[in-house]
Amino acid sequence: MKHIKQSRARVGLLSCLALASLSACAAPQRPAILESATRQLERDETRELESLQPKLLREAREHEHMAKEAFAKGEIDEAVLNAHIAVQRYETARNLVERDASRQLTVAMVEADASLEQEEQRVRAEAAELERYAALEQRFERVSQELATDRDAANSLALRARRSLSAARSRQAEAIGAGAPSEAPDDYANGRLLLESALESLDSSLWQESLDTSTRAIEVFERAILTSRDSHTARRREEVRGARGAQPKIAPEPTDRVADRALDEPVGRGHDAAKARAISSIDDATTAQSTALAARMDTESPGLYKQATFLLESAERRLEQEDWHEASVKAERARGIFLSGSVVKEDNVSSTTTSATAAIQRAEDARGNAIARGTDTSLFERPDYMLELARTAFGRGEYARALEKAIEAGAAYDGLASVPSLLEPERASQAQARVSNAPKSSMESAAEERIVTVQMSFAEAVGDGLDKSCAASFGEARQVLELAQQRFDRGDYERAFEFAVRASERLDTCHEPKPTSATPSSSKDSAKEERERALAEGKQRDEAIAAISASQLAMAELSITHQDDLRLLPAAKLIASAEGWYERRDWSQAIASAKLAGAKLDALEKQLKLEAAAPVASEAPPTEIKPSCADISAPKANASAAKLRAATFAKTAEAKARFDRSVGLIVRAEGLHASGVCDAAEVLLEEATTSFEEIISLEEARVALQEKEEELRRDDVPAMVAPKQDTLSREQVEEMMRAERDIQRQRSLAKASVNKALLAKSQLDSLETAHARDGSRVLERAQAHFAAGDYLEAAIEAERAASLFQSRVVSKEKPTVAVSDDVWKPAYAKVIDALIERDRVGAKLSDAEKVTFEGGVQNLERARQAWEKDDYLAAGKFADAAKKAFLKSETDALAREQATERARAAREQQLERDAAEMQRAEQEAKTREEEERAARERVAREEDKARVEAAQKEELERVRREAEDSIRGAQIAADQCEQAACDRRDADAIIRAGANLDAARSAHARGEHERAAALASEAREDYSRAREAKLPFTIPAGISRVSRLGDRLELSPKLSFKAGTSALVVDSQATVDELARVLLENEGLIIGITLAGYTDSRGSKDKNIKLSLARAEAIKQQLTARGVKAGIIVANGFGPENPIADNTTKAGREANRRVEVTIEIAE
Amino acid sequence: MFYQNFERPLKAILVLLCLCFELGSMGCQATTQRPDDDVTQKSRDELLFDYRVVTRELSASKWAPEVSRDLDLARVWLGRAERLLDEERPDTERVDLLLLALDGQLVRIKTYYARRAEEDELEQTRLRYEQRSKLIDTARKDNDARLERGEQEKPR
Repeated sequence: MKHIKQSRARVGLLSCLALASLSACAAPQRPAILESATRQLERDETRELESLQPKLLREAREHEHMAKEAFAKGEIDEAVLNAHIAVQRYETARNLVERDASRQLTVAMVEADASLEQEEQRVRAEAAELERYAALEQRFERVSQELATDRDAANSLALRARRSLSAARSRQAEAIGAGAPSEAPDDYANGRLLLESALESLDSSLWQESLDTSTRAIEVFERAILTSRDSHTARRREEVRGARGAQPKIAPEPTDRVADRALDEPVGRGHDAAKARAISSIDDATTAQSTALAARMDTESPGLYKQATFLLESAERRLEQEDWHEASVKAERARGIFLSGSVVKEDNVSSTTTSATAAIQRAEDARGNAIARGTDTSLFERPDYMLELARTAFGRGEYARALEKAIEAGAAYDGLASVPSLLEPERASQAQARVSNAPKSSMESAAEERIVTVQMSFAEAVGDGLDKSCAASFGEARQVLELAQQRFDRGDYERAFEFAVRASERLDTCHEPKPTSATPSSSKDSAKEERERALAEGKQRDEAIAAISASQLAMAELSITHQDDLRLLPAAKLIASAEGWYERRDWSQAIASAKLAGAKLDALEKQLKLEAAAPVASEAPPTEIKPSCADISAPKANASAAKLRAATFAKTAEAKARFDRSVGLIVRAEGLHASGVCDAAEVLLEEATTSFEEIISLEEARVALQEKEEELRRDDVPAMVAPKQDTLSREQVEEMMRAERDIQRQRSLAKASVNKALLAKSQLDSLETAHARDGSRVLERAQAHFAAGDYLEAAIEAERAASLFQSRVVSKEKPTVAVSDDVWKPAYAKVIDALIERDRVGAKLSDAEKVTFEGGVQNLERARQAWEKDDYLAAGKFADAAKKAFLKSETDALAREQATERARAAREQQLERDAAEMQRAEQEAKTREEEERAARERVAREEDKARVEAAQKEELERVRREAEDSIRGAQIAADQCEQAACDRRDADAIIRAGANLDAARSAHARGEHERAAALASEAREDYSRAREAKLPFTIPAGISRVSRLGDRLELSPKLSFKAGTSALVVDSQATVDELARVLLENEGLIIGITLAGYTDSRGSKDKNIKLSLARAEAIKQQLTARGVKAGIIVANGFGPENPIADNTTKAGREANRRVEVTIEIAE
Repeated sequence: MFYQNFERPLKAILVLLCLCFELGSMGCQATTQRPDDDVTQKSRDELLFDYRVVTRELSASKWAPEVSRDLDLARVWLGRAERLLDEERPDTERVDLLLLALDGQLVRIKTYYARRAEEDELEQTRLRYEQRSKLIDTARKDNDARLERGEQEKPR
């Protein structure tokens, strides 16, 4: 029994396990859609969605819950549907949230786009301004080029005007860069117009007008720049404020709240601190004022002092009005100005330059101080710009302006530095805005600002000296300004503002160009002035020549009689000085020196006459009056020796020119020695010696180099190996050839001179005269030199000989009276020397250069006359004077030649520069052309690319359209199929077509349009085939109406009954036969047949219902009789319900007496 | 007596006849009419018709390929709901659930289209913004280059 129980228990346990395992195996898996819904609702982002779309998410959760419950109950279908609904709700919520987010972003983007549009307009305006700027630039360049070639424009005023115009253009560029065309359009436009006007004036040579206009343009541009920067700063503050205001709840700032309280409620700790700060600032400013007074600032810089005083008074007024912040700022500004004035005076520096430097330094210090105190540097834009203006003005040399701007910048920095200790910068600006927005104080501030500006203008005007040059307007302006200040003090701010404006206008009249200063015909006046100046200069030169000649003649006349009189020396030195001034083209100095010399000579002449009248006094023999000249024979010998040595080395043209110059130095030294200027003579001789030695050393070096090259050439050094030596060698060869040509020329010249001398000798009546003998000796020497190859010396000797032979002076060889040789021979030698110089120098000079030379010729003529009169002493003096004149004319000619050479070199350099400029311009044009060509090619390439892309895009679009058309066609075919129940005809084709259509849509969405088109075409064909397939169920003949509803066909056969009976009319029997035949043919497809009988509207409803049922039953009976299964037929009667025709007519009633057949077809 | 003897069975027969009539009439009604009232029946049909029209309209949208699966699902549910309604004793609860699901499905598709329309609008706006930004950048660079060139040329 026990075993049986155990066995039963085991069997039971096993059965339970088996059942459990079976139930576990059979437990259905949760649908995927339910899993998906659960996952979605458990996501993190769902919480965010829930906050935005709570209703939808709540519904989603409810449906998910319902789905789980249904699943637990085993109702899978319901669970799936609920899960779908949950997912729908979730997705709908997400779509709505995404849509709203996109909409918000779109709105934000549209706003950003609108702001960008404004920016675009700004940039376009800037571009347009740059176009104008470029046009102005070209015009400026053209005008500058024209002015560069205009001699009238070479005055300082024109240069200042050009500089000022250039500075105005820089300001214009700066204004464009700062966005002034859009931020400060009026100021900018005014500035541009002024600039154009200034350029017009410059082009018309109205220098003063151009200068004034461009200065005003600079001011206007600077104002525009300041306005632009202020706007920029204000915008930035607005942005910052907006950014702060956007999240006040998220990150409230306690400091701001404190600051706000300090601003809004003038009580408490912030209020006390601000008040203390303001009082302290005013105290400091008052102390600074005392210092400034001690430094005499009120007299030295009255404008600045008044401005600072006014600011201090304003600060005190603000203090009374309990506007602590403004009081503090104004006091700091006043203090800054006082301190600047004090610094200037304490340093005891009177020059504006130093003042400006100190002020700039102070402003920089103030800036550093402001930064150290934590001031926001973004607020420095205005003072930074002022400081920059100060530096620029300093760089341009406008020290007064630099001083003014630097002081202004320093005061602004001080004002800013006082802010951060009390308030944050933003709050400070808010405070300023609050104060300035108050209706009363806005006018007050405007008037105050205006008065301060006008005071600054006064300070500037004083700096420009307008208080003297424009005293009337300046005085009026000052009186009006005082009126403005009085009105301001009385609180009549509107009138104060008006008076300040009037004062500014009065002051501006001083800046306007005066009508007389610049007339339209100023260019003509300039030319006239130039001509007059040239005439005056020519007159002065003539005067100088006349004065020098007169003094020289006086000197020569006195020298005749008082050759060794030392009292002549000062006059001689003065004459030499006058000659020096003359060479330096300083006519007035030359005239003065010459006249002084003349006066001295006159005085000396009178004195000499007096001495002559008193023989006792002039007993002393002239020979006793010896010049204190040192003996120059030694340096002269050195120079001669060097000359002899150098003569053999002077082969090249350069060496020869130098040699000639050195010879000229010796001659001049002799002349000076003869005139008693011994020191200069000695110096000249030493200079000549040095020059000769240099010639020798240079020529030796050249010869050594030449020999080395010859040696190298002999060693057959290939030219390719040493191209440099080869080039040098060629140069040397050319040099040698040139030297050879020079020698040949000298030889021919020497030969000509010798021939000339021989001719002159042959023309002499007698060769026994002294000069003939001397000439013969000189000629012999010349011939000897010629034979030795020393052609230069030969030429000189021959010329001398010819002069000896030709001279009429020496026609009377010997004095007719009995005089000793010591008396006539020196004079004779001097005359000969003068003759030699005349011939030597005269050959070199052109007719135009013979002004001084002619003086020498006249002196020589006088010497001849004196000789004729046997006055040998006078002849000697005149000969000396003549020789000097000849030497001087030679020196002048040399100087002129050098000047001409310099001018030629300058011209060549200018030509070279022009050529380089042209080359550069050509290069630039070429580069520009290449760039343009490259740009054209790039554009062409881009156009080609765009064309290709457009074609590709068009092709793609075409394919896409085709695909869309195909899909649409397939969809239409699908709809038609659906209407025609094609799936009953060819189910496989419909499934295939559906799959292809889906695939086509997917491919179209992926962009595979061609594949989509092919798939859609296939689907369309399948649909068409299915539609054209034979319907399995044939509609019987005689059916008046067929309708399909789902799986059912509703047939309306023409079954008419006799009125009031259920008997069919005879004609309807055929229809019943046909209907029965079709039903029998499709017996396998038909699930059920419903017959609905109807009557017309006549008779009672109940009766008609029964009649209609009887009619349906009659048809059922007839169909059954023809073999249709009775089990699938249901007959109903509805009486007159649902009439299909009008019951008022017979035909209608007949139509309504009918039986409708509904056939339900199997799937 | 007769009457009394006869009266009871007559009454019983009459009651029976009445019962039969009532039952018969109820049976006839059951075969010809649906269990619930006509108004509800009509509104379900109308709803189905409306949903079919809406499904057609939604299928013609340019974004339809992106939600083709959802549209197919809606079509399937439409067919199922119609079949259920055509049954002699339709499971109205199931039909209503299907209608609810259909409604939700169509709303979901509509909201998707609205979202896509906004996204397209946003994209268009963004493109416009980018193009304008590029234009401005280019113009600004040109301006800067001109200014820079002007500054460089100035010393000359």
